[in-house]
Amino acid sequence: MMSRLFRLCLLVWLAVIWWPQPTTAQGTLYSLFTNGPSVKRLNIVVLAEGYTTNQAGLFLYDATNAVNNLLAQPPYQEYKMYFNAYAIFVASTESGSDHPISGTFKNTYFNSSFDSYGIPQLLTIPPNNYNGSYSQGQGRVDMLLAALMPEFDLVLMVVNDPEYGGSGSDSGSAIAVTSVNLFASEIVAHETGHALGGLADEYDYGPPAGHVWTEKPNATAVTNHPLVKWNAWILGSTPLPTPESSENAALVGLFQGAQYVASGWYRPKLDCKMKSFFTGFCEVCSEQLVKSIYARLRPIESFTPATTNLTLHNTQAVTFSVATLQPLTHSLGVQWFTNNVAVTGATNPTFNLTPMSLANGSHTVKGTVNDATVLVRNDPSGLLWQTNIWNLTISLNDLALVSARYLNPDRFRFTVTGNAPAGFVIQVSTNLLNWTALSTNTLSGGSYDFTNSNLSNFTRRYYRTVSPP
Amino acid sequence: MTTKRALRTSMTTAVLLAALWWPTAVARGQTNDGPKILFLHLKIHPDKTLQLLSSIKRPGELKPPANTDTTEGIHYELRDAEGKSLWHAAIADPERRTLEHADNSPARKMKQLHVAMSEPEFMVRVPARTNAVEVEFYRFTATTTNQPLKKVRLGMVPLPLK
Repeated sequence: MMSRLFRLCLLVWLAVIWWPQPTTAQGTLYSLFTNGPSVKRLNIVVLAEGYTTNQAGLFLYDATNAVNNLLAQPPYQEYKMYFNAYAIFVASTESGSDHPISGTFKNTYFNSSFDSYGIPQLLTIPPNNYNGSYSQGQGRVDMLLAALMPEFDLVLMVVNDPEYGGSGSDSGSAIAVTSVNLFASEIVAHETGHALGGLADEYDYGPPAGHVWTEKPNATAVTNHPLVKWNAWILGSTPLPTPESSENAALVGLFQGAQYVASGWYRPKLDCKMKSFFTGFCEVCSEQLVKSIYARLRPIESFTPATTNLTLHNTQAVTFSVATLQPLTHSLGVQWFTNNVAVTGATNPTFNLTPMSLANGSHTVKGTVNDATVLVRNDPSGLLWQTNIWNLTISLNDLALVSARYLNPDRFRFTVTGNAPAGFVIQVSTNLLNWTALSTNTLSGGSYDFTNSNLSNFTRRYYRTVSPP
Repeated sequence: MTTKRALRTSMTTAVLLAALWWPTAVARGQTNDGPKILFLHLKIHPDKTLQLLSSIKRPGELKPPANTDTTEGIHYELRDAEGKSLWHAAIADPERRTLEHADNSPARKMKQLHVAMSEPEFMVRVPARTNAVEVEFYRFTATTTNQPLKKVRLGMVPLPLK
């Protein structure tokens, strides 16, 4: 029985993770993993190039590896839950890719080719020097994305060829085209630095013709410590500019050489993924990537009550809640406020408000969420913060019987004061158990004068008001 | 026994169908009534004019564009009838393709190649907003060295598209 149940669960799980979703005439969308709605996650899409119809399974394996390798790298590792990953399989007639220098040509869907522009390891799709047609390469990428995953954020192409090669590109929707080679994940991760974080290249050679040097999150021409944009990461004891030596390798400072030139521009660290392969993103680049993630995704996923203008008429407690994004190893901080005053201890995602704790009138309840990650020290735009505000009108019934007096002959009079927006009923009893309604009224100017006549038959009477009637 | 098996098969099928439907619906979060994305397929001609080649509207919602405070590349801006900007994003200049790659040295150093593209075609996405009347395309260029960058209009796509 257990075995049968296990097999059923396994079948469901496999089907869920790899079941093909929408299909166009050419391509099929697969979900590699989803952590939430595509509008509230960064959506990575991996495209198949050079895989034949029978190699769909191989492609899904390679695509999963490509995504896992990327998201295993800090700072993405901590924010893996902020991503969804999809794969678009499109069959090629032949497997592999063109190698024009050696005379090898393959009939593939996106017409990819090594040896682009005479560089053996430069792997590109058209338009390139072999085929200038947008519609036979990049155009096919764009068509598939529009049809199958319009909400894409990062697009990679995996080429089914073991030869070392790839390319990153700032034009077109695909940020990287890579073979199934060890280097693939390195190129992909570096390119996400450009695409997500707007980070500059930190290597100090090969200035491109016509390059315009501008300040970037990880490249500066400023050497005055207080004005350096990453000064929050620089220790007071760090020499600026920072000498390029192995003893300074762990420091954040000002290392000369960035944006393709060896002098005049500075980078934050001796080495970083924006400078060379097989190293991690430095502190400054990691900070920028985290902020870039939050520039696209807000920390609060949803909140209740869904309406932010509330009127409360009764004393029943109201529950406010925020659902937040969830990093891997830490939780986002929550603080609740009433009328802009922090409520002591109210730091859970839910907050119960007793309306009687506030006076009748207008109030605010505010839920503030922030990511206090150690990866970010400088967030002047407050990207890691989000606040949701509810405007409350509290209008509780608050009645009192005052100015009671006996009036001759046989009359008793009192005044009802307070707040009863829905009106009230005056009830009477002789034993405090059985109550009889005498009259239903509304307050005028906050009070109502009531006179009870013909009381000669009673030795004792009790009065009360009930609201709403 | 046959009835039991049929029941089990039906239940298995139901569980599978539910499981398969759920991630698709949740993950994509797309309905016909919700927000839409307008894909614009464009071409830059040698005289620097811009031509809309095709367009398609698809369900979905774009995330806020980041890194728009740049003077690089081509900017595109969605505007309403009063000229108010509804959306602003930028892409790398399609006329100048940058390809980054690793070299063949043992150190695998990163290198860049810049390729001038003639009459490039490209795709951009903008939110399909009912109050939008145009998408304007422009770039910033310096007319002379050391002069402030000037906004130069490339073209405009009127909305809504027929």
